[in-house]
Amino acid sequence: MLLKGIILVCCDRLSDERTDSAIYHILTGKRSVQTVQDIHLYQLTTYYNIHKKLDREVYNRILNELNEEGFLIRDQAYSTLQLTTKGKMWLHDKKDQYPIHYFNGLKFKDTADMFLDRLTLVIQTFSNVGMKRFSFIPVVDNHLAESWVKEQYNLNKARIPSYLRDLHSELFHLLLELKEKEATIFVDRLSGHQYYGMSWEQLANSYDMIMEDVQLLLTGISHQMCSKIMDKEVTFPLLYNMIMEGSKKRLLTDSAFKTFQLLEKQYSIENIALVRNLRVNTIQDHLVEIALYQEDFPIQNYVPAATQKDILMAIQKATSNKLKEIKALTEKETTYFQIRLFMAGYEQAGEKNVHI
Amino acid sequence: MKKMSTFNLEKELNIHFGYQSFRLGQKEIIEDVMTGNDVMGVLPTGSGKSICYQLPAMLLEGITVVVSPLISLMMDQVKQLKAINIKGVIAVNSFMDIMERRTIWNEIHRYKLIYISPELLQRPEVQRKLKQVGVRLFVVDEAHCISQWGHEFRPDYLKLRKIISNLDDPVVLALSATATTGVQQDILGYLDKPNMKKHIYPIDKPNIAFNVEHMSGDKEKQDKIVSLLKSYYVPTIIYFSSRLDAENISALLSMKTDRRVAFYHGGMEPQDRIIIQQQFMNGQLDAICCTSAFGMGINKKDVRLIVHYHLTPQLEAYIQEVGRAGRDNKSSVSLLLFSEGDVYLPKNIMKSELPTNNEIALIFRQLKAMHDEGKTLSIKDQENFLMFQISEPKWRFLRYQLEKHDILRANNIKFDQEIWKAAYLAIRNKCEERLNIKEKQLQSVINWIYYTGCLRKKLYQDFQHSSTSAMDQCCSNCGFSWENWQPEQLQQEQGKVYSWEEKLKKLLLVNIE
Repeated sequence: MLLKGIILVCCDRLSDERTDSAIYHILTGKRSVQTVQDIHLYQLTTYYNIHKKLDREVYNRILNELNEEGFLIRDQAYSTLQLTTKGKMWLHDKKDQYPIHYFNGLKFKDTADMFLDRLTLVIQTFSNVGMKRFSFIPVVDNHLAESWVKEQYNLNKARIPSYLRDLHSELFHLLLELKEKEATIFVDRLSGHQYYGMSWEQLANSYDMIMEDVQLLLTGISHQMCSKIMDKEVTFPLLYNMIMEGSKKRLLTDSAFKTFQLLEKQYSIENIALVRNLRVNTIQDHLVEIALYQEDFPIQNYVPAATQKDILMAIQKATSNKLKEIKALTEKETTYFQIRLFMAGYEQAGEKNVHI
Repeated sequence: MKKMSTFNLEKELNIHFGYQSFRLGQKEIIEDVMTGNDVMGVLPTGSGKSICYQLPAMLLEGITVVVSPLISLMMDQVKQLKAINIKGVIAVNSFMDIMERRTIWNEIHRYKLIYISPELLQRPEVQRKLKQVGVRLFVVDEAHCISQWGHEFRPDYLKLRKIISNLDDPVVLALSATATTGVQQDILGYLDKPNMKKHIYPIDKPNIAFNVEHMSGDKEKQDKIVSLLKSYYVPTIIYFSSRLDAENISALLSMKTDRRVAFYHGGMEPQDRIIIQQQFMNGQLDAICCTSAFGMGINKKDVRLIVHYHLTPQLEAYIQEVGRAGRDNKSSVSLLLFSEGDVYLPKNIMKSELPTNNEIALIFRQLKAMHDEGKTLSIKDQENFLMFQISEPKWRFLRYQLEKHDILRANNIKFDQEIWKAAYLAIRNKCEERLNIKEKQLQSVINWIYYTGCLRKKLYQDFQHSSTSAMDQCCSNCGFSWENWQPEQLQQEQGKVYSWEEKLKKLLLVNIE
């Protein structure tokens, strides 16, 4: 019921302004401007990118089940979703029984994956090495995590037993704060000396959950852990070290980051497109992405003051956040790119909702 | 370069891989390779074929390139080498991102052994890089892929001859575990190395008994497997042609027996694939329900029982999968369960691997439209078959044909009405021809199943002149009986349930207490 619960929450916030794809894009972390704006406008940042591998068909099946169970009404013709009274009741009465509040997708989407990979690999490596076994097949196939663990090994090889003891105590305290079943599932996933942890499928069978909920739960737990670790870095020095080198990393996509670097060197949009052999449209998308994260993004360089006023008025007049409607209400010369950039900048400035 | 005579091969084997001595055929092949002879080696599965190039790669100056058809196979190999602390090994594949690949090419001189897919090797810049550092040994792994009579024909293998000459003709080593005499001829021919030294070793397994049992349908097959698992507590692999069946029967077996069973197929997440594979290797699982994706590069010595729930599309695949039993040379059993309707599944799979006439026509039309708009294909093949909305094997087949007919040059489309007309017909014919070949291969499996003489002799007759007689029981036509098969059984594990606190302690504190 975890995935279902999260869908109900999203459904509640989005009301009927967006199609059912919008939720799918949020959960799978689509890097489109529309989706990124959605999560900000509707305060769904915590669920962004929490289930990258969610299959479209599975998502569809879950929506149909929610429809049949009477939690929401699925309008197939318009692909819209509407919460029923039963759905609202569930959110009111049952939601808190599920770890829905564990998530913080936008903040931890990269950090938490890296944290889990490093933690998993460090435990497997150190518990093997601690038993003088230097040959084993790593369960995590991630070059970056691998080289990080190698580094840790070189730093700590003289004190493996005490490293493991400290790691045990840090992890133990974090797990104590979870529910019994959650802690068990988390530990069952881990691999060690001559022992391989459980696959998602095996966890789902053992704990009578669907695979999607197992994956989500592990993600949720890792978000929860990351947040606790960052709050009290003194209490969790080893675990903090696993997060540290990643959390300060930019939140931009790699491609947008490259554009950002060129912008810093005062390149124009056209020149960036030329240098990077990409379309101007793509570079504009990058700018919108950058504007969402960079506090002092110079919007005025791309949207003159008069145009900004024009867009602001259109937004106030518009009945929805739909770009098309806003565009229709602006001057003819105002472009989609300018509207999106402006809205992104507005978002960044701290306004949670562009309706004023 | 050091002269061959200066190496004590046994000593080097021990230094690099920790083995005390060579296994059948390895030393002979390595000696030939090190003295600069081109070699074709046919060695049974599980005989340590890869040592034949891994050791030379460590000893030769310059690099060794291994062409391998399956990415998962390459990655397994690299993982295993890294696990025994061998450095300078890498598998380059199209799943790596550009930056990662660029880093590797820039540091290419640091590597001794490079696994690469035939597709990637086609790229001129890749060949240029390899040429620069100097390839000393060029290995064609799973060399049967070069022949359309081999059990997994890969058109890209046909282009290897040219690549080898582009790389200044390094020593060539072609390896296979399943090459009939016809396929062996094809390998020499297509690589244009008629003087290759042949090292052909018998691939039959005297310790495996071959059984075919005719069943009325799925229900009977399932009952059979349940009763087998109940009476034999031994490491077991059960092969399926469909992922869904593997999953379903795995669930059924978990429910109806107290064995630890899991499924494995190519559609799973990488981490879960590693986990399941390693659980089986490590004895945490008793039986695996899987597709042919399982088992490549797996070296579990004590697999006792191999069941085929479905037909394999060729005898070669059957021999390869069965060869995973009894690598410790102890008595093991293979069992193929066959019911009348089973022939349709492989037939459908075959058809799904070749483009239909409609699809060919559609792609010609799309290519024409792209040509007229001055567009080119993507350099990334994944994008191409997604765009044309056909499966990867279909596109691979078509791309090769289109290149052959000079309609595609790299990713550029060339238009000439006459050529296109002729090519269109030729490609349709080629599809039919491929389908015929595949049907013949399937037919030979069916003939084997209905054969009334000795199944062991029949199975190996195309691969070697004679086969060794059975060590234990022979086959179901020579009077196999289950009562007489008494393998050593595993110990039943005690099913104690631990709390997460205890589990965490066991994981992290085991070496302290």
